[in-house]
Amino acid sequence: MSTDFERDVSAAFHRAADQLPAPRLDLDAIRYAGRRRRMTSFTVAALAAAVLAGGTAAAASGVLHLSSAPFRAAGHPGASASPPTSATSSPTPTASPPPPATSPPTPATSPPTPATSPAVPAAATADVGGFYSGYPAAARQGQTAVDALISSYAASWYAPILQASAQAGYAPDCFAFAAHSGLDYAPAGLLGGQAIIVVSSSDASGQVLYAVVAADTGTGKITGIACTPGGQPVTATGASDSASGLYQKYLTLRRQGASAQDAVASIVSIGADPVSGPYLVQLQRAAAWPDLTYDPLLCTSAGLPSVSVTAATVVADGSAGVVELKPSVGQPIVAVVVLGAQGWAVAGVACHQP
Amino acid sequence: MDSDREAAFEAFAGGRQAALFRLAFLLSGDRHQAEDLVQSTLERTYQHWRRVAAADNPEAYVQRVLVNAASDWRRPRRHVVEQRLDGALALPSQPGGTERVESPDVVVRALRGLPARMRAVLVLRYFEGLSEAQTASVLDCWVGTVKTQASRGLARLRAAMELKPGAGEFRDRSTP
Repeated sequence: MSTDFERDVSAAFHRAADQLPAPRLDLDAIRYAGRRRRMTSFTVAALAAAVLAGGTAAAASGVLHLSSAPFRAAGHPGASASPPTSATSSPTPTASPPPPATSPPTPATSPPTPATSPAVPAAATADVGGFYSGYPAAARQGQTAVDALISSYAASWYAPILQASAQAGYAPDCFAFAAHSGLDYAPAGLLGGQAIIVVSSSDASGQVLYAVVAADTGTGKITGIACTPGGQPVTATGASDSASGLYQKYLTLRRQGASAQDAVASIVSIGADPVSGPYLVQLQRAAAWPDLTYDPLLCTSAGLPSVSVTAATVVADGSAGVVELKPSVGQPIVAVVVLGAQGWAVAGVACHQP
Repeated sequence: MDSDREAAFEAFAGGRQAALFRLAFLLSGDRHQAEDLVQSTLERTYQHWRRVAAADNPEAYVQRVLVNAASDWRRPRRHVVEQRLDGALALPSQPGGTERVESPDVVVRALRGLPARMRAVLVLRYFEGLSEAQTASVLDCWVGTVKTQASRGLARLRAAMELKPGAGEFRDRSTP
């Protein structure tokens, strides 16, 4: 027998859930992960049998990893095993930016083949690989070609920032293009609804450099690139504290009436403050662009939402923290935090379509 | 897996994903986590598809996988940094401090405050419309446990949100 209250609860549940649109189903990723789980189960079973037979319990440690955290880790820089690349049903781009006026240059060498991950859509790995394979040739041709390449591979809302960064002399890919011969791609997982892919390379001195690249899971377009050298002892707590510190300062300034550009400039002018970082210097230039019609830190063009840090994890061999922030209105924001010469710094902010 | 089984799985996943997503959303209270839960659930379903397809009630099997995954996922989330940066999260309020139950935020927030098992019982009973016996089967527990959890869960929901007599509305006690 149902009471009125039970009927009200039932109706309330349906009102809360029935309005939600169903997510896109990536069957290839599901199949691949399902097969991997099956093979892992066999491996664990075989190891367990070996342990029982031989008594070497240590052999089984660390074999089974079933990701279940909000951040769906899927690899690490330097991982050499490349799962099979899905040949079909890549997500169809739904909001591609307009075609660039200049065609992006064709890479001189065959494009790299980033590893795929069940968590990271093939479209994202393909787009990131396309950008990095095309960048050396574009950089040789000049700024117009670089701008065209960025327009092709970056999300329309992020392209102006990356183009401004390139025009200001920053390497938008994080590496000198001469170092592109040995790039390593590692899909790291999903955070805040965005795919995270870590691209790494070593310079002549053996110093490893990382680019933490965020990409839209639907279109695969790049939504953020953050650079960091390897070997930095980044922690999830430090990263989340740094990101929250930046947003506290930024929101305070914005609520006092400062424009996005002025608020960024004010934070950058503090200089040694750990919340300022290379990304803000880039933003300081990009925020003046008429193409940038949204707040690049809050990822919205309407209002000043409250923002909460909800998750943080460490990628790039411990050299970068990826932080998910949830605004009270709008999509989650992903911030990449690094340890620079002056301390913690936000090296990149990736937005869903603002 | 042969092509017939692949096709059967594809049809099953395609047909159930929307319902699974809604169930996952109520269990997790978060759209992105719900998407990951559905993905993970379907991965496990694919892994054991031969057994699932042969089961009397594949639906119950998948629901059980999803509920267990949602319960598991709450454990690591205890370590997640939850830091309010400024102000209160603005939930839509109505004049007089009353929030109608149809505000999804109110319902999801109230559910999120319950223990995972209790929330699963409420969602299976009052969203999926399962009987007490069916709910017990999905959760692999006694019917008596379902009754107890449902009763306590409803009481806690009622405590969290005061029912406005005769109008089917809840008043959120957190608003003045």
